[in-house]
Amino acid sequence: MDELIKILIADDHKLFRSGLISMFDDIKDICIVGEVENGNDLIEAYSKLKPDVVVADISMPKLSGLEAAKILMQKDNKIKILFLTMYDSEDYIYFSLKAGAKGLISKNAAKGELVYAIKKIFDNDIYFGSDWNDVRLKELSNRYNNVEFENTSEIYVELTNREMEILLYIADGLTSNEIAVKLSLSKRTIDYHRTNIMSKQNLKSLPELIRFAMQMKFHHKN
Amino acid sequence: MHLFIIQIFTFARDNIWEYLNSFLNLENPIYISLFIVAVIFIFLYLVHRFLVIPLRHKYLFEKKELELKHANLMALFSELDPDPLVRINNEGNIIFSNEIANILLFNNTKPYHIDKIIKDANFNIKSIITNNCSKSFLTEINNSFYSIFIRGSSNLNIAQIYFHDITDIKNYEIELKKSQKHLEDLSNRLQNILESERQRIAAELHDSIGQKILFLKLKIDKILHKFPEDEKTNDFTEITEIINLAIKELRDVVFQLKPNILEEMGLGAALTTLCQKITKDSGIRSSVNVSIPGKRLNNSIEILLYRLAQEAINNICKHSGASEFNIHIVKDHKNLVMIISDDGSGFITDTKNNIQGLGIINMKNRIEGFHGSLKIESSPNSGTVLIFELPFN
Repeated sequence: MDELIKILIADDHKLFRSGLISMFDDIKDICIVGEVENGNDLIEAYSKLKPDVVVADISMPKLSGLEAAKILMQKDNKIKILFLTMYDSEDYIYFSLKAGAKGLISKNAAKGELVYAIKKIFDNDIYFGSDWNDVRLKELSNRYNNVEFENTSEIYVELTNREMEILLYIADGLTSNEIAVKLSLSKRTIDYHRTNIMSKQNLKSLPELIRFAMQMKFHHKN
Repeated sequence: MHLFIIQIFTFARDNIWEYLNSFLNLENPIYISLFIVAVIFIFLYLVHRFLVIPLRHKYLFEKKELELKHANLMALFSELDPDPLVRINNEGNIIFSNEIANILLFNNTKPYHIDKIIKDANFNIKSIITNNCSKSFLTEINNSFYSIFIRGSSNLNIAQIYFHDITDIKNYEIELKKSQKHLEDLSNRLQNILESERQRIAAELHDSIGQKILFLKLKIDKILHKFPEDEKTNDFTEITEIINLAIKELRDVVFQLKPNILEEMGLGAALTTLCQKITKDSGIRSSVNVSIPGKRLNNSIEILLYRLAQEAINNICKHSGASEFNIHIVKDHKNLVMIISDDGSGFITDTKNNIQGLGIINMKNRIEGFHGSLKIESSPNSGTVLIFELPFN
């Protein structure tokens, strides 16, 4: 006989929880050790009950499943979380993966698939649906990574104080006119500095300049 | 020697008489020329005395009469003018005012100087009079608004001030602005109600009906598992299929009502998903950076920012021809700033003529409904930056 898989269920809908629990009744190698209704309780219950797999909804009051997963991941990066959600579109898959979840499955999925997913995750694998293999997941991550832009505090800059000042104002959301007024300079001078910053940092477009300004602001703060 | 002197003397005596006689003779031409000169002088004097002086007197008299007539006419007109009218001299002293001015402007106690009436006056009366120029402006007198027109007359050395009561127009303007504001508030409230109602319905559908159908599905799944394969009739398959369809349809309806990812995962995830989709579909590169430390934003603020970004991206895709855009959201101690920039064709930001698309007006109205502001920095061929600022508390 297989090992017993201890499961903690987190969902804010009582009816759904009870349906889920009764569904696991006749599955001998799965045992429900607890049920909670929000992210905060999930974190608390996890450290008490030490389940093998957490089956959680993403949308929950107080603390969402995703946020709870991030917090739990920081405590124990081996945690096995399977999200059981209303939606299983690629955005949900990407952000679940990013939060450290090992799987995501639609609440609409058949019983067999749910059990299969739990067992797969229990065996240190991942499961995001039958048509999501490693290659597709990798492609999905790349696509999102290109759009998602994270601040880093390591940037090489060679700017004058004035240019830095202007850059930080740009990041604060000031227009050239407003910066000109603030520094008692003409708008032409500000535009000249902007052009200089762009050529010094090899920035080719306005969006790149704004992005760089934001980086500088972040860098400046830290 | 002595004799010689006597000789000369005698000679001189004889000749002097002769010279004197010829000099005193009236036929001497000197007398004739002297006479002619005297006659000319006398003539000139007479011409001046009896011709030039009376003519000059007459001219001056006529001029004065004309001026008087002019002034009388002006005074007549002034008095006939249904609007208040005041005449001042070059020092600003009031020299005339018509009946209605006395009533409306002075409350029947005529002040000495125009400063007492037009308090915020910033015009130079002397220069208006000497240069024959005019000036018009608006001012408030005794709780009424007047359009004022000053006309200087260097001939008369006065200036005439015409007062035209525009209190009604001004009040209509204030009224109009009020109702405009009211309309905006109403439209914002409507938007908010629409949004919150959508959310309420979506939540209701998701939480009650949705969960019940899911519960049914789980139960049926369980029952189905107990049946041996050969006893499962078509009815069972049909029930499962219909339930699956119902769940799918419900999910679609809820999705249309609100971007579920926004509520479930927050602004960053929702915007990333949105931009990723745009990049995938249109090829326009995009990046999203949301750095809001701490707790999630208020639900209505998240939806506001999401909808604004949606609108902005829509504009970028439709009109700008950009190859790249990005969205940044930063929060400092007092403001939440969302900056959306693109490298597209840009446009002339002309606030005076308001050549702005409906999309921009919509965005402006929406953020102003939350006491925020929208700034636009753009010029042809150098891209566009939209800066949304929201006071944060």
